[in-house]
Amino acid sequence: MLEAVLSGCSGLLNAPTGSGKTYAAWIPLLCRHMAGLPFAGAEKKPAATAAGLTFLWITPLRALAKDIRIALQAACDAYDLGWSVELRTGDTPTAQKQAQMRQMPRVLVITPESLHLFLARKGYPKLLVGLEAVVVDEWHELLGSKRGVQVELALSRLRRLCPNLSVWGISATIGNLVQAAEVLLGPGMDPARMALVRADSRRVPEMRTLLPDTLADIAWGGHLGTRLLDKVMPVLEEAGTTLVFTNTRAQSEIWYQKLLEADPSLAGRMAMHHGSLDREIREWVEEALGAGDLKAVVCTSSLDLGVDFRPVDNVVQIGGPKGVARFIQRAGRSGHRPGAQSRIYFLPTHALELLEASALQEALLQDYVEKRVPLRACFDVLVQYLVTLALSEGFVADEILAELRSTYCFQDLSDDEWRWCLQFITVGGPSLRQYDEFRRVSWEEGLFRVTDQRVARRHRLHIGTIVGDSSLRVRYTSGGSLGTIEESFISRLKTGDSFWFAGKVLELVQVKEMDALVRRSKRKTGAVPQWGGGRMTFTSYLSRLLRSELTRVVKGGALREELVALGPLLDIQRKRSLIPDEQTLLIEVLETEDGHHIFVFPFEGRQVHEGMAGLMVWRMSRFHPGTFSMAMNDYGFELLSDQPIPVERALAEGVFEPRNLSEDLLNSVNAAEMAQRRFRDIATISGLTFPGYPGKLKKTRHLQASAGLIYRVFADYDPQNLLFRQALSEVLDHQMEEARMRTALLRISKQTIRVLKTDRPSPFAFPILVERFRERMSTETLESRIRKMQLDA
Amino acid sequence: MPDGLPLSWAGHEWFADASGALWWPSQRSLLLADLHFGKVGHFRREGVPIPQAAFDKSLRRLDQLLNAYQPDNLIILGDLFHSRYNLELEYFRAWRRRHKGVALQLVPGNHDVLGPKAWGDLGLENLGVQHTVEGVELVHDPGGGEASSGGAEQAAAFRMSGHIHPGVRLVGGGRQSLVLPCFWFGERQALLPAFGAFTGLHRISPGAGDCVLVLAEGKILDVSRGAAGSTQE
Repeated sequence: MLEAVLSGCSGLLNAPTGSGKTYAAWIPLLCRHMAGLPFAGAEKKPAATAAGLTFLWITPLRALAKDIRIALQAACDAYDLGWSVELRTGDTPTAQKQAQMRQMPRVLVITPESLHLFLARKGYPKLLVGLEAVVVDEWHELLGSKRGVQVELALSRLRRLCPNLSVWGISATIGNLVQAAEVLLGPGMDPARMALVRADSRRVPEMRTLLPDTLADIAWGGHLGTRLLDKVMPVLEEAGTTLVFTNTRAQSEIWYQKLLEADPSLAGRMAMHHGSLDREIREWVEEALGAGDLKAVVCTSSLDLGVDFRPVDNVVQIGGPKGVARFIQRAGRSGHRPGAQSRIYFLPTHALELLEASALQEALLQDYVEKRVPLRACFDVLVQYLVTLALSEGFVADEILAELRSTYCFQDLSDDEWRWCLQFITVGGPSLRQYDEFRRVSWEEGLFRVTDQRVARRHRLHIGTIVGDSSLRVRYTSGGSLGTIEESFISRLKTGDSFWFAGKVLELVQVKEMDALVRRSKRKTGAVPQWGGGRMTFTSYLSRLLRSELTRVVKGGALREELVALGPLLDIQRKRSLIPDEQTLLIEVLETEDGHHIFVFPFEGRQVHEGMAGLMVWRMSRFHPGTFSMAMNDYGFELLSDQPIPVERALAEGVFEPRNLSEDLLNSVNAAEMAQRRFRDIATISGLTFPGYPGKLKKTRHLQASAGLIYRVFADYDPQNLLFRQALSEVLDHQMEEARMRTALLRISKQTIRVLKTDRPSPFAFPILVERFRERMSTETLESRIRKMQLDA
Repeated sequence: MPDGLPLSWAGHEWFADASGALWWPSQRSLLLADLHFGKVGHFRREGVPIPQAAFDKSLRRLDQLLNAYQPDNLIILGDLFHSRYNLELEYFRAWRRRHKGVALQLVPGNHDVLGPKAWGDLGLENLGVQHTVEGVELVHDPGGGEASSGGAEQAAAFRMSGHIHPGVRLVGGGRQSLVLPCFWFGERQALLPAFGAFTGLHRISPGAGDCVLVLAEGKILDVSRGAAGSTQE
């Protein structure tokens, strides 16, 4: 690493968490600075040895920023540099930010959003003159997300302003490290100046599944898993500190509550950590964890990152982690001492997760890690970025275009697309009329600029708004805030109702503007909020393992204890239906009072199943138009209809053929309204809708229009709109994983398809049947659908 | 004949058009509510690029209605304009010049803040916040103002209003559901759907015996409980 940095390279440092990766990157950079070496290609030492900004450290999470600042500062102090390392995140007080604009610290720790806000400041290029290096921490987390695209864009700007800039990423192990480096450094990067440094200290964690005593102790469906609570208690007791990872925030609320009920002595020694809690609460938890004051912390992915400095003894994973990389990373939280074995306990939340457990064991054995696929052509992020640049210094179209094409995300940006983006921010899309009052970015003397102060103010508020439901701040009537909660949840409560939040039962007193005012409730029970947000899907690697586990069961090979425990359920599955091996696609047909169901089990992950369900409905419409309710999980999908579903005919007509896939998928997308939900994020990022800014809602209320309304207006009146098209392609690429689906369909075309009638839901079908998240799709005319419907009671 | 449904209700004969307008043959009046002209322009002016076509289309639909029904009066039940002056008012003026023959009448709504000067220029007659025709009380906000709490003779009035942007949820087998804009006719009052293209919906819960007509892709369908169209078992 030292050599690579000293030679002036840019690159990617691959190091597992807990290996001291922060210093591994930081010390060489400091050494290089102190040695006064010129950076590659530079004629002389950077001009700004006058104390300006020298290093930027980009971190994805605010929660990490503080720890990193302390670590970086400690190293500076050790070398007696007399430097200051400062934070610049959403939590930094305005006064400090202003002071920074007057006098930059030597080192700035910043989030991607705050970096973009910095680029929205007048005079930012001057402050960057002496910048020597940028470090992007946890790059694997950012890669594949729109925040990662934000980083790519900001780096393209910084590279232009500081031609000798050295850029380093730090990434945990992922399957495509070389590509990760390419995305970070830009596809045009000279390979001779690029380095990939791998810390070869891979440790395979040990995994133990918390098995039920009998299969009757574990539910067939559901996501909670609290029935196996008594299996977790001994794990807590045997160790000093335990992290209990859950997959959702709601789940952590419930687990916290159940653990406390099971062992009241945990009160005061157990805490909760998730992304909706206030920063103060989260910081307190992190500090208490570091000090070893806590017996247990129930958390979500909010603690996935950066607990580098905080060793824990045990890790419990509640419910399937859906991917191997995430699982290994979480396991890595324990046994931080060099050479120590890290260990993770897996608690299945429903019976079939025992199958997943066995597949995870296999994955650890095979030592394979998934890829993170970087995003392409995110026009929403681009539009936001262009307005950002127009806001501060203004921009010259050709200059920025060249920078954009140097990024991975926009390397193929066409001239037409570029013109469209400029048109979109200046005249608001294709213009039909001569006169229009559209006002956002204007073009004066060759420079694109924002001149309207209201547009400027609103845009600043906009950068980095977290996409999601509009959220309310949960506050005590006596003052003091606890965190944020989605409006859709609060709107279902009446005054006086109680609900769980931050591990407490709270009574809703009043909703006032963007605040939900609460007080502690005397009651012991309450509703548990559901936070929206992405639902994770099986990675294709884990899917393949799952299918081979099933094959092992069918062939009667040696089974791990997890599969042995699942035995009785597999027997029921065999009796009511069958267990499909890799060569078989199972389809079950069932009739209940809800209607006619079919269950298809490709074992390919929730996302692919979502797309396949839509595809099947669309292709059946040629001979069987109808309306279907669809549900899916990682094992299979269900179609439910008021009419019998002609499965045999559908198979004969080739509903699972890979031919015309994109076209049929897009058609089915239009019908399934998936894109409309995708569009919500896009509309927020590109500035079409204004999410509630706590305390600032009033000013923007007159511009409130739902993303759904705007989506329909685009669909009806401007279908060529690139943001509208982006919603469609996001559905194809990410939501339905078209490429992966094509592979799956090819596999299915070689499989034997078995269609079986069941008189009761099979154990495989049951978890899908009880899924509450459903999609609807219709290929009937609206009129004939309505003819069959009634007014909601 | 345009696509619509005839309706006998509260002693009157009406014809509900699939565009969301209500034709009142005996008065030769066409009733509309919540056009929200200027809303698209308002958003655009603030830097939110809603397509201009969304406004243009509403004007074209008005053209088609006037051609189809040839009304004497075009009565707007409030929220003709979404906000203060913007260019869409000019485009509406131009439209008005092409349709001088029809009497344009407005029952002002909460959004109609433009004022008498602009209305005068349009040859628009202000009917006041409450205007009664043949025992039918026309207002913008069904719950607002001094109305219908009046004397005994007024209690007999049937009230017609806009403001709500009514929509209903329909449910069917296979756990399907659908939300659509609608006309709603109750025992003593009726709600018109919002006519403007860039307007939202508010879900209402009709009672038994109410008449509910939903608008769906250029068609209008009766979904009242027990109506011929709804196959409730």
